[in-house]
Amino acid sequence: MTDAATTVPTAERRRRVLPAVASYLPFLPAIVLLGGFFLVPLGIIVCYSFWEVVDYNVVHRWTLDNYHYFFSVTAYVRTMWATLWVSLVATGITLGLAFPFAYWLSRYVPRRLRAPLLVLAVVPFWTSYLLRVYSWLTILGQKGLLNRFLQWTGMTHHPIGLFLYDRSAVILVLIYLYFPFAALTLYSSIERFDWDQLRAAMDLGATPFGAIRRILVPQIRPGIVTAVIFVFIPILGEYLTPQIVGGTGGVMIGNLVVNFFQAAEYTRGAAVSLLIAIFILLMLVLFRRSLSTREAYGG
Amino acid sequence: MAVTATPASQASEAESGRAGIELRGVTKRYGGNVALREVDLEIRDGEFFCLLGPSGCGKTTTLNLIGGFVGPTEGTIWLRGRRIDNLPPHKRPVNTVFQSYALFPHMSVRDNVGFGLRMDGVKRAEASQRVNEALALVGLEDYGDRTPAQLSGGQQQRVAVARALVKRPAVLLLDEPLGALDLKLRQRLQVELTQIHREVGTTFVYVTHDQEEAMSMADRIAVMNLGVIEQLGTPFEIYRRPTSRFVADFIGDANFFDVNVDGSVAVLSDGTRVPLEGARTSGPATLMVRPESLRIGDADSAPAGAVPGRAVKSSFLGTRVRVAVHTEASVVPLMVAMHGEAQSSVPAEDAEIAVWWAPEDAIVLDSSRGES
Amino acid sequence: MAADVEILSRRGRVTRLALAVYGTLIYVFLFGPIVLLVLFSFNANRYGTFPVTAWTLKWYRAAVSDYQIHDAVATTLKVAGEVTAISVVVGTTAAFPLVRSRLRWRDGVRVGLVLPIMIPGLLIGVSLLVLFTGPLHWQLSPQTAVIGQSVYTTPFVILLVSARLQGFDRALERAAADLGANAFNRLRFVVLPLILPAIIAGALLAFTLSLDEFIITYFLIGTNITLPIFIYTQIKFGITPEVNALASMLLAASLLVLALAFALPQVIRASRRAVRFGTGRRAARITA
Repeated sequence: MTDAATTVPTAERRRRVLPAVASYLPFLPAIVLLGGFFLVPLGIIVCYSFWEVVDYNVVHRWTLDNYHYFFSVTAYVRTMWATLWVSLVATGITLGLAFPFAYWLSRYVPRRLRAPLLVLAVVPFWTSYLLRVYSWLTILGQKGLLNRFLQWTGMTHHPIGLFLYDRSAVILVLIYLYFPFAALTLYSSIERFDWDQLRAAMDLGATPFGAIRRILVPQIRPGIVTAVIFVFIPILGEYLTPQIVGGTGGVMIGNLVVNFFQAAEYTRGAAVSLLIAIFILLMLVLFRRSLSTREAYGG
Repeated sequence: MAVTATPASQASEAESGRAGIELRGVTKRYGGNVALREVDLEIRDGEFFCLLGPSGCGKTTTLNLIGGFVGPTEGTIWLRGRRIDNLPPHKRPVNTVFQSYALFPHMSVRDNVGFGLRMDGVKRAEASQRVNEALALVGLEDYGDRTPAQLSGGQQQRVAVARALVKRPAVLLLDEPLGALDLKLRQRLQVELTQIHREVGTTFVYVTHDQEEAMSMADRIAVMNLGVIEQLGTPFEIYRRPTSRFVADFIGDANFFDVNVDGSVAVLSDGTRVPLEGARTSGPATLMVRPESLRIGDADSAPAGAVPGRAVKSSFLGTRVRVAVHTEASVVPLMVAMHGEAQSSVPAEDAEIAVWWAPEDAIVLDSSRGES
Repeated sequence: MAADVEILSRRGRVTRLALAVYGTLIYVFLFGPIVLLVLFSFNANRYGTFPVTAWTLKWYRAAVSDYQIHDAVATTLKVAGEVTAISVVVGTTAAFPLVRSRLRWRDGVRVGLVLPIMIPGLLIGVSLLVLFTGPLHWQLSPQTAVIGQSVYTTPFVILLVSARLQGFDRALERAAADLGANAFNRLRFVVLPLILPAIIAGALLAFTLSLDEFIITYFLIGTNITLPIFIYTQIKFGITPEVNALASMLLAASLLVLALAFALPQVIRASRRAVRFGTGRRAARITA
């Protein structure tokens, strides 16, 4: 309690006229930027989704027509479900691949190599997103490198379906895009784990996998949840990947948004955007207890 | 007790010139918690003053109030007759040695020590001269170009002292400055700090929870507990004449008896009547006797007022032998310290013996005070 | 960790080997496409034969001399510069009250401030498009793109700087105040120098993010073109080796800035120490 005295110049501060306001003043630029150009536009989107367009002009008349329209077109609804499916599968595989990797890095790699190897795995995440999608363009496809390579080596004679421009290609590229993030998040929670606990579990008769499942996984649950959320959410709003490697079969809900806006159907686009936002909100509310932004961004 | 700025206290301002620091009716609350309760305190110019007490007693709060890092909720603080509680830290002629040293990691030792002079706009040549003197004072002349991270704990501590003293403050505040160091180094730096104090003559206000440290360094000690000053005095007074059970217990070892005072005699719970020095008000009280004041001998040859007992265990502690004695007069065994020649007469275990003391060594404490 | 017993057992060794192979494959997966992209930018054959039979630098020459690319580079750098300036100023100032004021809803405010990172860029892009073209009636321009990108990059600066401030020992500021420094001097001589590495890292991060940002810019920049948008429009017409060359250069640029982001704070610290050590020595010699 004697150490509770942490504020610097209380005497000085007390002389200010409005001390509380003054200490919040530095928020002002952020409030202008993030309030005015993030929250307000999101609010406008919400309004737009309940308004209608007449002769290319947005009319402020409240209606549910935009949603009715969206759910009346089978192709749109199917795309929505497909988007959720792709997000789920891609997130699952990404984490499934990242877990053994993080486990290996934090337990089997010598300490001095860990940081460099981790950085090496994360570096692609910070390089151009567009270029990483683009880099698959030459690899995938009927005449892409992978199929040509397989035919060249004589392993197959026909192009393999997985490597065509379609939904599976989208999933593959999404895994590629978000693996580094999942690996980083899982690593930073596994790293703090006390491996003696696994040894103790096995000493008490658990199998190695049993020990991992019952002892390790429950303790790194916050890290897992964070990874799930932060891989799932951006995939929901994915536009570029399906656009570039998805062909006609890989369309996702983000592409619908862009199409509506490019066709100047702002209110319909807004309605679809709001659907994405609602899914995201549901995710966040669902997992809010175990969510930790610190974990994700080291803040 | 709470002295605010009434005309009466204004009048006493003029004569308070001799006092280095004065706290008048100072209370400090953090939300609902009272860290300091109506404290009046006078620290003389040039003395080495210790604030001693367990954690949470308010000693660090007192220091922070003098340093200006927190403001008092009530009351005023004066430095050499000038009111300072409304000044921010950077305008008080008071400097602090922080518990964590708070050395600036991005500056060299020289820049750290020179920081305060730079803030005051002292000319380069003079500043450099004074930094050199300050470094010499703490024996770190050759370390000016190092960064704090390149120094040992003891060296960092000295830099913190030099950095605070270079500004020639009226008062130097030290917040458990040796707390992070090991015992050997701590003892050496205690000696060094007292030497530095003698050399510069500045008032030192030193916060510690280590009673031995306080006893060995301070001119005067204020023992604090639960936001009030329990007792203020020289180390000798506080050890020999504690005024509360808390102080007696906190400073050194003590044996306590629940007694009934009857004029100049105290009646112990086993019925033994022991003589007291001077007459007291009658009634229940606590009697305190230091272990080294107790004498042990055969029950037969014991003087009147001796407490019969049985030796339970004796431990050899190098400079003394400590004997635990079970008596009917006290629930916990009495601790008897035997020094020098007395060590040859240590009783055997389970021996039936008697324990007694000189009347002037027994302190009567008001049993209602100091219980925490 | 060295005494991890069952790692040394036989089964442990098999697991270790299997995981090492797995780890290696992961790195192949992560870097394969990028390496191939770079490799193909040197392929003399326009149609990307495999294996590569002849090497060339002509695609780089073509890319470097393309005036459209010059324009795109100029726009990209200008936007990135402005975005960096805005995010550093706004992010750093916001980090202080976030960490230091007695905020009742600190966690809520923190989540609010970093929300733009969690929301897909697509939503930021379209909602700003609606704001600018609808209620505000603003002409789309590089400036509107700058605003959009700043919404997305500023939270990163907030996170980096507030993390650094979190670990900041407040006793240092108390010490500075105790030694006579007023609020401005405490900021200038103690706080800013110590959080500078985080500010620089934030600036470089904002710069790279802006350099590569596609979707927000795509909606907000109007008829102007940045490098990612140029590449995207080229991709629509098929893969060309010039784009491969351009992409390789862009990759190299982001990697360079990233390396700077990681290395610069350390370099600054080291050089600062070296400089001070040098002057200190000189001073010592003069006095001696």
